Amino acid sequence: MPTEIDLLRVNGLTLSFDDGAMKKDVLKQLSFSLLRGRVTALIGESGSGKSLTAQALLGMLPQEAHVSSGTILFEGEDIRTWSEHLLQSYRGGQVGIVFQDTFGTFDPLYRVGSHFQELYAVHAKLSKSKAKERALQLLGEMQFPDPDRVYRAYPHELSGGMRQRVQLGLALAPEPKLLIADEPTTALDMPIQADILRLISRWNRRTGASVLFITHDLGVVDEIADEVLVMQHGEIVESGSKLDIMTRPAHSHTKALLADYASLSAPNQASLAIGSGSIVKVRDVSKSYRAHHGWGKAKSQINAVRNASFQIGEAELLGLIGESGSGKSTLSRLLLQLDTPDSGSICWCSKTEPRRSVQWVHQDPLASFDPRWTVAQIVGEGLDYGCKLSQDETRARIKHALDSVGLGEEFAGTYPRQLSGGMRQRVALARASIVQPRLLILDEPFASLDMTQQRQMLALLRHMNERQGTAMLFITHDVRAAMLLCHRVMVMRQGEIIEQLPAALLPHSDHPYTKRLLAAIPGFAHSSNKKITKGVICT
Amino acid sequence: MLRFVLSRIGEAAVVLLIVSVIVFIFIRLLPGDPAMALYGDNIQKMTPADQLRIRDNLGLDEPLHIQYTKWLEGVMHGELGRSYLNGEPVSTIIYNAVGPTVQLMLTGTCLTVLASLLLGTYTGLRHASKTDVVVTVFSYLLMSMPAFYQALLFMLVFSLYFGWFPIAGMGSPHGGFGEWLRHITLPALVLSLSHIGYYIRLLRNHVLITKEKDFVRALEARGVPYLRIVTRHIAPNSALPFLTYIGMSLSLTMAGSVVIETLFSWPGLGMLSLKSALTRDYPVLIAAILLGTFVVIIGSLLIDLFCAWFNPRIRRQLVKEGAAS
Repeated sequence: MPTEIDLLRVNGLTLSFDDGAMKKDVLKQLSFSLLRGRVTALIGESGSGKSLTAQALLGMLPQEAHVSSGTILFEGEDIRTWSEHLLQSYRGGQVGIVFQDTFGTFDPLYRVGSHFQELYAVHAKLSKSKAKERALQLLGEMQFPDPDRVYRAYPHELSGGMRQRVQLGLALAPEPKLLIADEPTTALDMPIQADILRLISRWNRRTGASVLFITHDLGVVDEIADEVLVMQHGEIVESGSKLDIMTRPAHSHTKALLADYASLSAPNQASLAIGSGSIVKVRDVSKSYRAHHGWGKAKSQINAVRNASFQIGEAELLGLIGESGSGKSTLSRLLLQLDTPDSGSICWCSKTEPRRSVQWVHQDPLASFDPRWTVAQIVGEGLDYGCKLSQDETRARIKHALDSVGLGEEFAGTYPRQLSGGMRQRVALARASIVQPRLLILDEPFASLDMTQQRQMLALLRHMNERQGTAMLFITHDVRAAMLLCHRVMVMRQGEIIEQLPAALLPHSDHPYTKRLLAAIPGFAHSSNKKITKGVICT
Repeated sequence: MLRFVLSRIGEAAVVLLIVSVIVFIFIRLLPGDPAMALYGDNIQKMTPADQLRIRDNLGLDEPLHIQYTKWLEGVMHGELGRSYLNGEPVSTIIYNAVGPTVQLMLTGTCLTVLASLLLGTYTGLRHASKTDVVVTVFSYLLMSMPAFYQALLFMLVFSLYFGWFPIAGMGSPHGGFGEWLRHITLPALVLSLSHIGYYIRLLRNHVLITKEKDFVRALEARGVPYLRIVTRHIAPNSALPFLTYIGMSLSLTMAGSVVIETLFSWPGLGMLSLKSALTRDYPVLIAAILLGTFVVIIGSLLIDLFCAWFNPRIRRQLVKEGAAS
């Protein structure tokens, strides 16, 4: 018996995008193999071709992509020679995939159960009742306390983390030999990310199947992977065991990635000189929303923020961390005066109009841009209101603002769609900083950026803070980034600020919730205290 | 759920009342009067006393608001009055006309839904193909051609030239299904084709959007056959706005059926309305118009409910409200 045929082997795969006029190689001479029973991580910056590789492995390439050479061998057979029918049973049946997006990947008209039924009907020809039995068992394995309720729920009734576990369940349902996970945890809170990672590695150990884990987060790699493939510009530049890659990287790109990661993991030791004045004082602020249940019904109250008190100092970098739904965004809306608090006071210690002195950069920059405006128009809009400047002055200010975020003048005429995620976020930052606010509120500004871009943005933010003295409220669920950037960190949970402390002291916090957040950081377990973290995770 | 239905029915009652007032007033603003229409030139030869007596008999000499309240009282008691023309009860006349109209509208709508589902989905999936171009051209052609013109064209080609279908009428009631089918084909076809273009375009555009959705890719990646994805996922998701549009355009179909019924001598509500308008047969006319309004309102209510049931988000909301009330 030929025991040692690799589960999946890619030989010299070259793939190009061909849109008639231009031909561009996006994957170049890709060669790697996935070993049975191992977790292989595929890492690289965004745009390096990771997701395209996953699509190629499934035989689901976009129409404009052409394979110019190479083979993809699944258990020794080239899937590119297979018929569509064979490919269909291979997808899902032999290879399961989990996507990053948890909402869009479900058909909104069908219950979770119907998704399972369909899958079992296609791959295992199971009857509805049999399918339900299997699905409930699987949902139980996915650690749902009440599988039956999830089975009957519609996708929109579940939270992001639950949907991701359902998606994982769907991928594992037909008992595939390979699971491809395409950044499955990027959009999730860290504790949920830890859950998902644990589920995947447990499944991998139990069934002896293989996992290809695509990520840009080296912490995740450290947590889950056995083997690592490093990708850059459509090429695999380095491959090897996790230990080799993490401790003895050979290629300069791998080294750079590791350096990015290391710099992202060290807390900010600098603390702010005490005594500088404060910009805003928040005292006992509460805000609740009424959940509407229909006409004439009793309305239930959601306390989004409860008795929050804090202040932000001149030029201070203040981090606000917590899981989704903890009230972070509501607090930022109160500070931005988009909402008024139910009780308590927000006191601005400034001579100028408070609204002008606070600016906002939010999660999805593209959504906040008018798609028909050029970058210069977007950035310069803030100057149109009340800043009576001549055209030349306006142009100079725009140029300066773009300069300060590291964008050259050549970007002034481009449209937001033409920019990459990192550049868009820079444009948003330039737009916010052009009116010279004293406080910038950054609401999850890195949510869509990869590690390298994150590091660059962090450096940029710190630079702006040092040079212009802008204070920042940095809202994030990424504890690492908050520790790295901020002087001080506030931890928020269910509307309450449960802890405020200097960033450097955060890893030594005694609060159980903060500890849980820290324990969920991938790779944190390895780098600091293994025993404590394990204990927390296993409970 | 129940609350929603009840409130919609309440709204419908108010709309019907308003429509009846408006129709009542406007009919009487038309030049000419029933007595003239009934007796034609003979009325000139009658004495003023006779003329007065005719009007008195028809109840036309009373002030408008008294006529209206009398009529409304009758309606509340289920009494729609009698036709001025031949004294037959209005309810019988209407009852006889409803059947053919419902047959025509149902057949037309079914044709529309079936054809546009097929063509709309197909052209949406094969976007920019030859079929798409051909269907698009024909859609626009049909959209821009008035129904009466289409009807005449069809009669000319299929009835006169080829002789495949009878030119008009409904056939004898004892002719069986084949005869009925031969008679209904042309009017139903015209009714459906005169605005099928909108439906095809609408569905095509929504299929185009839906097929790019992430869940379609996810289903593909889970190995679900594409045909199954199309029938079970793409089509239903694209059909929601399409269904709403059917509800909204019920009134258009109804209006279209007046023209078509008249041209094809199809003895339905549309033809009845036209005939009674020409003969100033007020009780029949008002009943026919109100019934039409009623059908449109109820039809769109049903479609709305169906859409709500179809879309889990809205359904859950309705059920929650209903369960508590």
